Amino acid sequence: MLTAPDPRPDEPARRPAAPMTSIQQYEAPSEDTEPAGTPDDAAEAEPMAEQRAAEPAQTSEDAQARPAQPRVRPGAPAGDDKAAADIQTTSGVPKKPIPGEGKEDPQPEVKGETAESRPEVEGETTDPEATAVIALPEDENAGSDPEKTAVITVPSPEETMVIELPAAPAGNPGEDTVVIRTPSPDETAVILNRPPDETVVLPAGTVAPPTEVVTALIPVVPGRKDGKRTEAAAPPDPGRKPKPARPRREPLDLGHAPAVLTISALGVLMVALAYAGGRVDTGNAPFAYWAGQVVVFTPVVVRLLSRRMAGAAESFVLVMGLALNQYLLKWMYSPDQFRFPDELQHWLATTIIVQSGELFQPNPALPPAVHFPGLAEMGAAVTSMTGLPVTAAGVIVAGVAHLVFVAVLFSAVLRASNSPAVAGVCCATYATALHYLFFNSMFLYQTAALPFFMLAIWATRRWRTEGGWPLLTLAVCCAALTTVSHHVTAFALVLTLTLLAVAELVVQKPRRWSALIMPAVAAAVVALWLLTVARDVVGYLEAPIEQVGRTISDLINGRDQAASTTAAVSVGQLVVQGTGLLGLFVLYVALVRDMIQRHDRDTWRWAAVVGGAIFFAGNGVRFLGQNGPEIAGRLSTFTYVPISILAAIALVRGVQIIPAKDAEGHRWRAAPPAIDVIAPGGWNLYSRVAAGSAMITLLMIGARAGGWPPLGSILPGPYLAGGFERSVDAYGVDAADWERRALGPGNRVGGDVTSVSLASTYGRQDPVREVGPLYYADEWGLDQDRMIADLAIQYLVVDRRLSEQLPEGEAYFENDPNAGSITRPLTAAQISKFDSLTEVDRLYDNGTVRVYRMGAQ
Amino acid sequence: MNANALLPRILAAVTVAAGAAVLLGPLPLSVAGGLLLGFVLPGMALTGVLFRGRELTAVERTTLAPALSMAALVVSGLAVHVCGLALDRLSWTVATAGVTLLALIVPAVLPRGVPAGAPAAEEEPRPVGERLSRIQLAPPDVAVITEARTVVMSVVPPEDEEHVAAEEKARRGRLVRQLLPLVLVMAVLGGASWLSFGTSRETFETTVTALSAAPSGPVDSAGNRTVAVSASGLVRADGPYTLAVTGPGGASVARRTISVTGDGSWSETLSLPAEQRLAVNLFRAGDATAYRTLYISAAE
Repeated sequence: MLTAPDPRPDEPARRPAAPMTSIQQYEAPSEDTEPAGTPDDAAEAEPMAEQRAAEPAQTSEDAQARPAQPRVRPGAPAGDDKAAADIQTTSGVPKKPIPGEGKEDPQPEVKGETAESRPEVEGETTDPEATAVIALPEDENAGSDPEKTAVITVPSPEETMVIELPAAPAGNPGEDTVVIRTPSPDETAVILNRPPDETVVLPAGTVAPPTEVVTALIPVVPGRKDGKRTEAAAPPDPGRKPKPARPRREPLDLGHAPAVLTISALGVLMVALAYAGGRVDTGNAPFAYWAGQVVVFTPVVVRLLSRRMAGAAESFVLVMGLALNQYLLKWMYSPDQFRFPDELQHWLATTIIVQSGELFQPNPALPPAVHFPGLAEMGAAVTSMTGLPVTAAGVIVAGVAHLVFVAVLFSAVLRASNSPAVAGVCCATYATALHYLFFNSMFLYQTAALPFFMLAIWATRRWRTEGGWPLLTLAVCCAALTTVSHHVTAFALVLTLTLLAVAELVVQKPRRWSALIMPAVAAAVVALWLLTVARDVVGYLEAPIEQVGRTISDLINGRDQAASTTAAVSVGQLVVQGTGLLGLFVLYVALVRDMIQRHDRDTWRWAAVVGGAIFFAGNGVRFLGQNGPEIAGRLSTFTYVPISILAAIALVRGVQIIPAKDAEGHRWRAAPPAIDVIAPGGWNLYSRVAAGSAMITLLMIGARAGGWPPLGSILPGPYLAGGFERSVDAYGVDAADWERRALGPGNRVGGDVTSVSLASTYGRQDPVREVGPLYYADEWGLDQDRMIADLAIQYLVVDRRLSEQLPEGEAYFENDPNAGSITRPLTAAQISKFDSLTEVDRLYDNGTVRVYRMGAQ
Repeated sequence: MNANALLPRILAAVTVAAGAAVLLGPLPLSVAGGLLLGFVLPGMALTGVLFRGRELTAVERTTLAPALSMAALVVSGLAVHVCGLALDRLSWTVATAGVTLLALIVPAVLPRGVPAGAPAAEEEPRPVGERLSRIQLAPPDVAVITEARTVVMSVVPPEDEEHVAAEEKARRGRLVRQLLPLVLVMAVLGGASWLSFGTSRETFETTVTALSAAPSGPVDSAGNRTVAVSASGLVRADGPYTLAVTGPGGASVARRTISVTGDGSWSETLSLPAEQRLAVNLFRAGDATAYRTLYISAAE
């Protein structure tokens, strides 16, 4: 045997990089916490299939070797026992600290893994000179069990304990583990017990064949490789029976992700077929659509919730694959051109930059977007450099931005939780947000701002934990880029950073006031941009906020409210959405109770709790007037992040919704259960995975049904009046193109929602949106003349199909005076009255869409 | 030359090649080059600068490349605008390639002693709110623990080359087995995209037959005004079309027979009476009622 000093004294100790949170402790035993790309150790050589096959067998053996534990937990601690209650144990029995001097019971508590193997303790540890002798059982089983654990509570760090351990069993030297725990649960030292020669010998079988060993003596130094850190890290759980380390996977082991994504891709194909069927009015298309949505989504969720993922690489690939597939679902609805009005507005903004080569040029379709050019810049850059059309470049930019947002969300949650499972489930849950496939992934300026929003939070978190100017610089730059890209997202960023800072100041002791730097800087950047560049945005946002305020005032004062433009929601849709939200709420409450019981001190989790509360409160905004649903949806873009994180933690950790009774019969006042009290296997796991998957799938169905497009136009197809994307067809586009060619840009043009949208984008006209009364009038009179003059309307676009269909979105026009109360289409007389006006020209007619030149010029 | 030193050079070479492809190459090359300059190369280079000597997971590296590239696009656009230059293909290419090359050069220029951005405190990252465990140990305890943390490890003797090669082969086989389904995924997604794009374009492409007129011109001395009348989307099977301009009482003012040629469009500037409100009707062959109708009001 060759014994040599450590040839690499700076080799890092094999221990967690930092004291782990409860979540980290839960995930730490698995190789899931290994960052992708981390080289594996000696276990790499084992074929993966064999590894996986061996794991269930190992679990089964463990279960057999360990006597069944009664599923009860101790009573709530009181008085002096409270300190011990913070100690989390697998068995659920809180450890009692050894009393100090003057206490009656000087006996240190020593716990074995089982009742049969409980070590005996002789002597007292309150006396520094005394000796505590732990006699590990020497029965047959004990001698062969390499995983016996003894836990000793040390009364004071200054006191000394000398532990005499029995001779290691033959053939398994050094396998017994003694854990010395100081009074604080965070202060734990793990010392491998030694044979009398004070040498711990790793079993040769785990490293190399016993016949061919060459042994080197390597002192393991606690702390970093530079040796400056001397804190002893806590083991994952000293009371827990150490499990044999599972062999690690390959660095790029994708696990089952490719197979799962294959199934998910088949779901995309089903939806594509449903879309194709919808375009030709096939009857079964809706069934194929919903089945496809579930096939796209649910397999990924099931895999993320299962416990045996290969690691961060598999989780990340699953999440990104799901995001890509869902983005394709959005794109395939209208793959050849943008049809949604807001997308068309940003298409125009990009086109203007490409054609003029300048930023901040007027955009009559959406004036405030001029001062938030982030998205248009990206689109113009891609168009210019690749030579692709603006539409294609827009699809690419929106797709990349959406995927980057999801990836940064994954990275941020992974960094915070150190759990690929939590990060993956969080992203999957977030994919059920109402606007996930709408405002968050369309070619809109919010889509461009969201990656910077999340990147700012990620950088802020790393800056708070690691320090360093590059991270602070990145965070500030991202705040500025968010501001340059989208106003509402910039406001949300300031509020989010403020919430995180306040949570840190409240939870963390001692307080670090530097936490306020980032929210202050972000607020200053936003204020500077609004005061110097985007001065018009305040007026733009004022109207919807005022409207919500008026609605609240009306509710308080009992006044009648204005009609809502929101389509009536079916009972089934309400049930689906309500059930999903209820599930989220139950998880939220259970997790908050769990955090309170555990005295959780994690700043970001508490911030998420506050954000989750705002999410549930925000759902009430949707009932506040015409803009309520939109405001609630936009709010949920940001508040759904914390609730997704909390839901993921609850689902992955298996937080008990109804806690089990403890030994004293307490249910709600009981001590918190061990964090992994539920065995990761068997019926318990399967039922949890099934319930979690069902809940998230239900949320997804509710989001698709209540999100965008509306249920009535959830499949592409023929023209629908007031149907936004479904209202865009060749007739409307041809009319808009004629306006641009024949009339030139900048004329004041009015019409229904779609006509105005097309006129202002493809037609480059100045839109006039509040023209509903002109169309609803049965006869032309002085009021109509006055309105034409007041609004300086030069042209009106009339779509004859308005007299054939009820509006899909409950309104034909923006600011429709009859919104929500339209019971019959416009009459032929209302539509054709313009032909009888002698001073009005009909300058364009394609049989469906007509353009009138009004007399008042 | 190790991999760390080689990577910046490869990135620089790819950046130059991508820039050249954008400026000089055909469409496929310019698409590839443009996407690399837009979403990959600046971010990779900036990641190297910002996170030099800092721990990043593979997921974070993968994420930061496109994220920082997008940031570079936005900042570059603003910088070009502030400089008063036009945002065109040349400026975008120079800006993005310049950012990339600059980010590659900076680390080479900076001293290599202390990595830029190393954390001030010698502490490892840990979640906010987590307290650091500290055990105050007396010197004898330290000695005991130090000794206790001494392990005798077995050093694995070098494996024979044949065994290593077999393992490597197995590893490659496993990677291929995992990537094969992803090829199938790409094929399925490509097929679904093609199907959706094809059906959407097919249903959108409707022939729209439109009759239009430009606003009337000024009234001449003879009391006439010129009106440019156009028809588009004319279908050969429905031709020849007839254009008839009638006055208030149905009196014929002008009449044209339109044969469908070329792309199915027709245009003519007509001289029409200014004082009458006129109807311009387009008839398909054999139709008695107008297929499309315009109204031109009397000139003021």
